[in-house]
Amino acid sequence: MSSQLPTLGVLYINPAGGCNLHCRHCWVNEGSFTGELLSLENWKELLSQSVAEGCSYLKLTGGEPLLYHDIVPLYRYSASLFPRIVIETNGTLQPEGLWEAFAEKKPFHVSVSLDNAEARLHDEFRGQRGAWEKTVEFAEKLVKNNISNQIIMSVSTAQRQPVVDMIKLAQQIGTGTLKINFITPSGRGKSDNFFDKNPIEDIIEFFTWIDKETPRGVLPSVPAALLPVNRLKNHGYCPVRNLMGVLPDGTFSLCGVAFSRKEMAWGKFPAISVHDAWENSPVYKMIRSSLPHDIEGVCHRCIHRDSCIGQCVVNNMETGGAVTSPDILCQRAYEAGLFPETRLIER
Amino acid sequence: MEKLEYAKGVVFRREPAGGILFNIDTGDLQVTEGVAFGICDMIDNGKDKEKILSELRKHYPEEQDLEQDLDDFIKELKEKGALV
Repeated sequence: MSSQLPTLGVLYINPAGGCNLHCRHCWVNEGSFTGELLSLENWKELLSQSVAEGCSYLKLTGGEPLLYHDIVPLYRYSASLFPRIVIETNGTLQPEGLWEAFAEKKPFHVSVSLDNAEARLHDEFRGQRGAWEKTVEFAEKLVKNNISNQIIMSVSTAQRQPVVDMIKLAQQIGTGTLKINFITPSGRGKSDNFFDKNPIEDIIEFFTWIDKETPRGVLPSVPAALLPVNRLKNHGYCPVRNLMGVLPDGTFSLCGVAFSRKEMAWGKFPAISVHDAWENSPVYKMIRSSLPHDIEGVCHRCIHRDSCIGQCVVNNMETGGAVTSPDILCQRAYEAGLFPETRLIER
Repeated sequence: MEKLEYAKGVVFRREPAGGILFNIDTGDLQVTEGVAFGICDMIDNGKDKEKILSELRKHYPEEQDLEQDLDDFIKELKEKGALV
């Protein structure tokens, strides 16, 4: 292995071939997936090879990961290998044996998607009647089983009341944290996204309101540069330089972006090993050679450049056309004179 | 008198909720809040260790271990390469 090769630290796998919901904003499952799913044995081998590369953090995501027919044995096997397993789910499915498998070894963290305190609005957004009740039940079970958990709320507007109502609901459920994701202009989110719908002045005001008026457990998915100092200590960054994604048919991707952007895919497991993909994929090579140093716009001058790396490469590709494009919120804030001067540096 | 000086390439940024120490050469970033922010601010303003200790004693007269706490913090900043 070359000394320049970063460690494969994080693996995102999308085991199921789709989703049981049809959410308005989904950037992953925008089209239907037609490839052949990897078998359980294939996934086991892929996970073992990833651990051999040094990977210690696994995210089961999607699509809807709990839709995968062998999800329970896949979780059990994953739990025997990875110290940290994170699951992102819509929480509408409870496959037989899932909670028993969780009881044997708890996942590190589980996030469920719940967008509105009002069932009707959530169901409309998620494209399935009855989704809200199932997701709330799942979230309550996570709390009851003492599993580290989070609700993720996706928003396209800067309205405060839906957030206030969701905080109340999350408190009723006993959820650990409430993350607020801002709908990106990718996949189905192109038509109704947070970035195009709201003037930057309103967005900054919204972030300020969240910071000052909501509990600390409310975590807006905001670039580090737009967060006050006291929110930086627990801020999470996308591990894009140490991240490998795998699609349901074994295609290697950067996170799940190759669902919709085929140019971000390279090779397929098991024909190509994890080591070979990590070392030789032109996608990962391009990320390594260009980020963070070639990132453009305000991100290039930002003191968070090396950790934030533009917040989300996928979003930046969609809004700016390249993996090196700057984060759209930071760039707009900068152009409007609202980017904090204290976070800029001359390079 | 122990002079305290940030290392070459290290800048200190003041904000309402605290401060940021940033090393331009390495990209290392350290958030400071509360007393740590106050100390970093005084270092940035050219105060030496004795003056900083004197200020801390004015603000926290009940605290017995101020000098030790300050020494520990200075040591930590030096280990992280923020102070020469």
